[in-house]
Amino acid sequence: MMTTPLLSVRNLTVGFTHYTGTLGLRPRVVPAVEGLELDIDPGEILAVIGASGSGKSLLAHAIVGILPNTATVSGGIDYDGTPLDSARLRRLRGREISFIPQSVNYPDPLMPVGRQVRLTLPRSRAAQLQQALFARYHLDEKVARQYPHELSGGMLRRVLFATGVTETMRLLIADEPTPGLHPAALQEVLSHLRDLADDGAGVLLITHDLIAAAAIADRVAVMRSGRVVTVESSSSFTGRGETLRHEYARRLWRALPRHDFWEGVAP
Amino acid sequence: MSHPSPAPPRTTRRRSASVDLAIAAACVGALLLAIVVTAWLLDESSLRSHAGARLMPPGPDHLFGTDWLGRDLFTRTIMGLRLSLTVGVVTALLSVAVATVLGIAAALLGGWVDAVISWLIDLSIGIPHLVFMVLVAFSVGGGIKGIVIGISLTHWMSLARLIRADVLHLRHSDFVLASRGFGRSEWFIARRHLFGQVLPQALVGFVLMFPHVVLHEAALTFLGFGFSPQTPAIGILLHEGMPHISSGMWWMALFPGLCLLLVVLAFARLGDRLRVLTSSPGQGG
Amino acid sequence: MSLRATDLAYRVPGGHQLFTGLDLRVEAGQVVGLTGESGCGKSTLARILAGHLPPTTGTVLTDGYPVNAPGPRPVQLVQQHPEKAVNPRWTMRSVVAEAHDPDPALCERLGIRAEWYGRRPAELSGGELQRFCLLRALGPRTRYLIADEMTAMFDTLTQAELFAVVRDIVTERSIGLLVISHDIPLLDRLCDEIVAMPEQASAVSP
Repeated sequence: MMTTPLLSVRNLTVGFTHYTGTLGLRPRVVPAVEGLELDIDPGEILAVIGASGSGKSLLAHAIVGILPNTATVSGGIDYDGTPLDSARLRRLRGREISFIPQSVNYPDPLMPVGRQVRLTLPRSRAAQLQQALFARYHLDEKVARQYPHELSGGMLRRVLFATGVTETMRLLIADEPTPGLHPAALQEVLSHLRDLADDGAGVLLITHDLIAAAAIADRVAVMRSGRVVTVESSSSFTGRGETLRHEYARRLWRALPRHDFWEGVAP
Repeated sequence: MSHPSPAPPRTTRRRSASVDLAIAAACVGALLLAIVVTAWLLDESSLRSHAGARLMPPGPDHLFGTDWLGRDLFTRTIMGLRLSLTVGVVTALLSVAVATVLGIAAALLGGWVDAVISWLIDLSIGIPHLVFMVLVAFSVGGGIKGIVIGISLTHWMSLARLIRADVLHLRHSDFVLASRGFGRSEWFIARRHLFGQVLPQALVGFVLMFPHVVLHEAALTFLGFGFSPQTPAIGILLHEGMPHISSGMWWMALFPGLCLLLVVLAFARLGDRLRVLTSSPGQGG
Repeated sequence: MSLRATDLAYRVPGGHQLFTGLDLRVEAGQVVGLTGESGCGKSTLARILAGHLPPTTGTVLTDGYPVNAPGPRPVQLVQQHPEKAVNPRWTMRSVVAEAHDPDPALCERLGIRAEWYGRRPAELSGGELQRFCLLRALGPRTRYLIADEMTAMFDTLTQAELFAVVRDIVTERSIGLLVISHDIPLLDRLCDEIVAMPEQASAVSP
């Protein structure tokens, strides 16, 4: 029984033109993501883990179409079984496809956050819906009148969720939603992602936190220098990782400070 | 557009930026070469007046025609361009040098040095620069010296301000702080870290400044504060040609003017391309 | 013999008070962990201790001398983003030469390959760059090393490798190590002692 995946990434390659040399005028194309293949089903959380620079954020940016001008892209992305071209993406983005960016610098610094959230909502019910969203994300009503710089990192993160997650959403791309959160807030964000998936959305969670990924995702894709090394079932990240299929995933798991840490690595 | 399905149009735009730069650079190079070589090949004797060949329209003997003294306008235009370009290079270099030194000094030394330089920048920008330029050129005695000093003293400010801001930002960057931690001197930091970062900015400044300088040189000369009347400078040619336009001798002002426009446009385009390329982030992943 | 900060306070220029009355001490050869919530001033403290930033009030002494005395400093800092800590236009050879003549044995232990020296920062991964930053920081005169979220951007294997080398070197040379991280299990594995950044009411509300 094969069902159509919600999102299917086929042979995605992203390269960058860097300008080097003393005057910064010598171009050089650096591949950042190579031959990426991934599927996400409805109701599933797929975590993509990897070090910074492994290309995991670029994957997210490629899906939501916000790669910088310097990028060269090839390969294909299918949404619901049909290619996701830029016209279709523009139509779906913010309705069915939501994106939670990594940086908390994304909100407009010159607009109260409540108004920014209302802008994403149907105009007739914007005020009510925004209040409901703020209540859901445990944001005080006075926060709505504050500007981004007045909020802490954790609060901004929740505002980003309130802006990004809509009722009609079917696919959520969350790019590193956890850094800078204290443990309680972290737990809250993660279980919220789980709830969204349990309600039927597909979630792509980009993170470098292996423990968080193993805790809430269904499957974990491990990236290393622009390639997906392996896709593991998250239940395999347990004990000493004996059931992990790939050696690299096993070594990553064992190198956690709470496990073997440096005992496993040759000094 | 990052949408991978069709062929990616993103890079074509990028690539065209560097192709554009190459084309602009080739145009400027060809133009410069043509001017220098032609000026070298030309016979100086056609600069002399020929009573029999006065006010001749453009033709096979005189491509750009002759003036009211029978001097060949093609020769005079090329000579004028060569002179303008030389003055342009010297003056633009001088003002970029002033801007770089003052910009780095203001940001690095801070305190009263910064206060004085910033005040000077604001002051110089506040004065209408054509008036200022004429005053400076006049007070140092006019001629080529007047042009070079007059223009360079009035055109360093905006670049100096840019460089000062750049250096102020760089001074607190992690790699500069680390360098100090390794015991490196302020002089080392200025020379090795800051200068290298500021160089592309200065280069773009130079290329953008150049057409500006050439135009001002022509303007100063046209107004009579620049070169002496017997020098074949573009400004002089234009000045001499203007009164004859109304009496139908259009070629006297048209050709020198067009040539000046061509050179200025080529350089402005090159500068623009350079700025686009150096200001692109080129960062990712 | 210690790195000693006494009664440090830092006020963000034109902003709020980040911390006041902070004391910290790292003995030679000791590994101290420092933790605290994001935004509480851990990284600012690291910069102050390394002499990159003057404190608003208070003193930092290394073995009795002010930390920002002229010459190579005995306190070196390795930060979270190695790409910001090196000049992006230089080759790695110049980047290293700026600090000291590297000891080949040290390069080898840090896993730095000879062919990396000719490259520029954009052509290396974050983990590879961080090895160079460690090499620079572990010069012959270094007595104290501050690792501020040194491996926060890397995978667990790179993290384990880097800390294994750093631990061996600081033990051999009796270097005092201050590890700043929000990862408590990591600090538990590494440190002789863990201190928490004092929570300050003023740090939360501007």
